[in-house]
Amino acid sequence: MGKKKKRKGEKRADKKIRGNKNDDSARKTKKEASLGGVTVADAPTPSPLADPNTPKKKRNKFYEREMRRLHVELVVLQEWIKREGRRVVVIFEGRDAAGKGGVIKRIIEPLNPRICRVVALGTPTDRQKTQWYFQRYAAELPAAGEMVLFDRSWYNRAGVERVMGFCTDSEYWEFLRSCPEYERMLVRSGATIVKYWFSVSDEEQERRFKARAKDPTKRWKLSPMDLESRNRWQAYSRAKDEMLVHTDIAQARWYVVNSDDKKRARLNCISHLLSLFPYEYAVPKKMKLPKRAPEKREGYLRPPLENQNFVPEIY
Amino acid sequence: MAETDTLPMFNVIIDSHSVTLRKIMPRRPGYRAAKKKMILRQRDAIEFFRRLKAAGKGFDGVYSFQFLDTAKTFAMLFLEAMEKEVQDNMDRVQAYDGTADSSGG
Repeated sequence: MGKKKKRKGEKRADKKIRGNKNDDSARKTKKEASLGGVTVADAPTPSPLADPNTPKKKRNKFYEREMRRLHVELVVLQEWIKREGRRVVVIFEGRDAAGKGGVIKRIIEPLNPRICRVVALGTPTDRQKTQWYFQRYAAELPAAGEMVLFDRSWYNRAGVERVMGFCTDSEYWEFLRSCPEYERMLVRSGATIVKYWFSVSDEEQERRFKARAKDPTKRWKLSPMDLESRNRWQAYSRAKDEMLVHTDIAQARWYVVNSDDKKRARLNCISHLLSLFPYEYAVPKKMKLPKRAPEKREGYLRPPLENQNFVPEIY
Repeated sequence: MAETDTLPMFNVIIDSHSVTLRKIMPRRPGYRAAKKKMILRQRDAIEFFRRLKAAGKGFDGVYSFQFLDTAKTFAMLFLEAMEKEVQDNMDRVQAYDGTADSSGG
């Protein structure tokens, strides 16, 4: 009887952690998701976030609840990656202020920084400029049991470098040629590559730029390069089209995230990322803490507190 | 003469042996013919390539483009499609462990 009760309790806890198993859409995404093909279920779930008539409070509540659920799933995914020794690369690309950083922030929030880390490389040094283009990115690739999120990646060459003229024509075409080969090589070596393009409209990007310029805590995000990119919207669009068509390979697909609505983009992106992996929740073995062995006191006396520099407790 | 008639055209010639890019200057032989079926926009080039691929009748022929970049895009897409087939075959051969009747294809 007791055992039965326990089992029921465990099941309930498992259900809580995995979300509602009876939810059709969740089951559908799990079933239809596959890394090789593009068969990710686009289940049209009635979401309060998609309904403009839903009150803001209700929308926010729904968002918070969903995010919490996805965070739990992310933790389960993390444990699976660690257990299976997977190597996962997730690339986030998109125009400035498209919302890449926000999604990355939400993904890493509940995760262990030793397993999941973010790579956001700056401009290459003079030495790096003389190296093989992929070299500085290759150094950041994950080891077994790790997930690396690239906040912009080697695709800089096909995007900003192409548009701003930071690379020569031949370097650009060489990139389009070698990038799929490089990614195929990575996938053959056992890595999983997922690529997201964050698509934001001209008007929404302008609105976000203005908000950044106004908000002192966000002003650091605005660089002269961003302002220049505003003037080259079409050139960016052309570069993006070209990039997607040349580098969307079966081994490493591009997925486009509509990011005009930040909250929806975050939930959509994270739930899609989760749907790509056949992770399972393995309940850790039950542990019983042994009784603490009586410690021999060897005359230890805590030093006076005045000798230590404490952080002032102002709250 | 229209203003665009002073610009060179770019032909992509695909046959069973090779892919060739050729620049045709105005008033040179073949310029008018190229102009008639010329593809202007990059997006049209990409869509045209996809249509050709979906039709499955092969790519052999001469395709004309107003801009070099668009011509290059088209030629590269064709070459990548060929390379992808090679890669897929390599994957199949490499993964073949003798248990199946053939390595696929």
